[in-house]
Amino acid sequence: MTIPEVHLVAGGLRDSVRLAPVATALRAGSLLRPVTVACGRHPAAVRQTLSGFGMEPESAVPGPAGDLAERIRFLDDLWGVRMPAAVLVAGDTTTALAAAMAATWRHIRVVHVDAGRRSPHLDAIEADRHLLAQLSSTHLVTTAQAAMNLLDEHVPGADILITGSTAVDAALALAGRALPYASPAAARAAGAGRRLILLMIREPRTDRLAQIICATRRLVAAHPDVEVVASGHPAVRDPLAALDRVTVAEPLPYQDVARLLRDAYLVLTDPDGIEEVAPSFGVPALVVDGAVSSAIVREASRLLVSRLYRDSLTAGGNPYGDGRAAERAAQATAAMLGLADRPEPMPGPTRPLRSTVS
Amino acid sequence: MIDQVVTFYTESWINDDRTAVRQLLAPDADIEWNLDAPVDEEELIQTLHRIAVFADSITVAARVDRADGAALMYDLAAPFGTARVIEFLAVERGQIIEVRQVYDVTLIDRYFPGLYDQ
Repeated sequence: MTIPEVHLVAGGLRDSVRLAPVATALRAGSLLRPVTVACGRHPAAVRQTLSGFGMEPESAVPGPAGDLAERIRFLDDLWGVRMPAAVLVAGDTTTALAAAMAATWRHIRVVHVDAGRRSPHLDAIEADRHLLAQLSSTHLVTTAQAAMNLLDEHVPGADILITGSTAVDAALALAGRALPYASPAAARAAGAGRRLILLMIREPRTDRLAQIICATRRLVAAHPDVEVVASGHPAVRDPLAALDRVTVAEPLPYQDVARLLRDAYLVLTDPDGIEEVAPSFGVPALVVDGAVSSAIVREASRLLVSRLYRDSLTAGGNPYGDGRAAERAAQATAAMLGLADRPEPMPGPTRPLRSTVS
Repeated sequence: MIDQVVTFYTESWINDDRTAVRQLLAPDADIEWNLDAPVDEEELIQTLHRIAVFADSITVAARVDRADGAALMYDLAAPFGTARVIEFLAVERGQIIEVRQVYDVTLIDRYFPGLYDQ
């Protein structure tokens, strides 16, 4: 009997991190054959992430993909000759929307991993999120809040499953393998013998850039036993490059992010960043985007001074994922196709274990 | 030929030419949408008419043609904001035999109130 194919379409780091563990779980489940497809602006990031899981894209747009129409065209051509039973996408990227559109066009069912994220801003990105929800058949969410967002948009509750974050699965899998750092700078910083602060701001609010930079300077000055690894947006990391005990590491493959999380004492990040992953390593994540520098310094210093307070923030585990999200995603995909029972949702606490300063 | 049919259809409904839209739709065309209301050819034409009348502007944000049809994304700009709709068209012998529309139902309800009868 031929095992049906499911195609997992990724365009960059963020979605490939979320889909790679699902591909691994699908392969282990043996009910479906996962096929990874790279179709976005950052094919090298997709390749690098998948390689950490012993995979490579089976199909890829040559070079960086263009706009939405070009990605739909590529995927439609692919699925015209190699029709999958289902398509999996992750997050809210142009690639995810293109794949969902191309799949729906060919009457292929779509599974949306990391679905239901919403912002209060009704911009084009938010509009695309709405459409992605309407195009998808199965919605796998990280949190109950994401599930409620979808219910508010008339998505049937029976089509929604709280799986937890597959990014947590990815980080745990990579960190568990204890691979050497790919980034020499990150390796040096992690080996410096000081408490490690991972500063990872991907999309900073421009009006708050100076606050984050100022707060980092003050933290380094006030705590001589800390070492900062700064990654993410150049507008944040580059002004810090000249500081003693600050290491700028970029680009960071996800295997290095996972290792840094394992080695870190504290994470400073922005919303939708790595704050959902850090608690799985017993590391609190302070969401600093939008905060004034004095508040960042105050809260981070509290965590640096009191080990008890710092550890208490993650003592209850990680509400964003228990390391089984990918298994649930794989089983939910098989269930959608009538090949398995629907999995149970992720049990667990609903208390958010991140600290937000404002 | 197919791209001309698709172009003529989109231009017709955007410009509120209901007669042309009616002529382009095959008599037994399959029509589906994700709005919370039943749809047939007449309801589709009336809904497109109401959008064309109410919207400040309608633009094709993306379009992909295939040998048997096209996929389109429209931006529907209303006085208080823009909603998007995706449309999949199948064309045969110069007529549209299938229309599948996927609306951003949240923003359609907000920016195009009363668009369809629930």
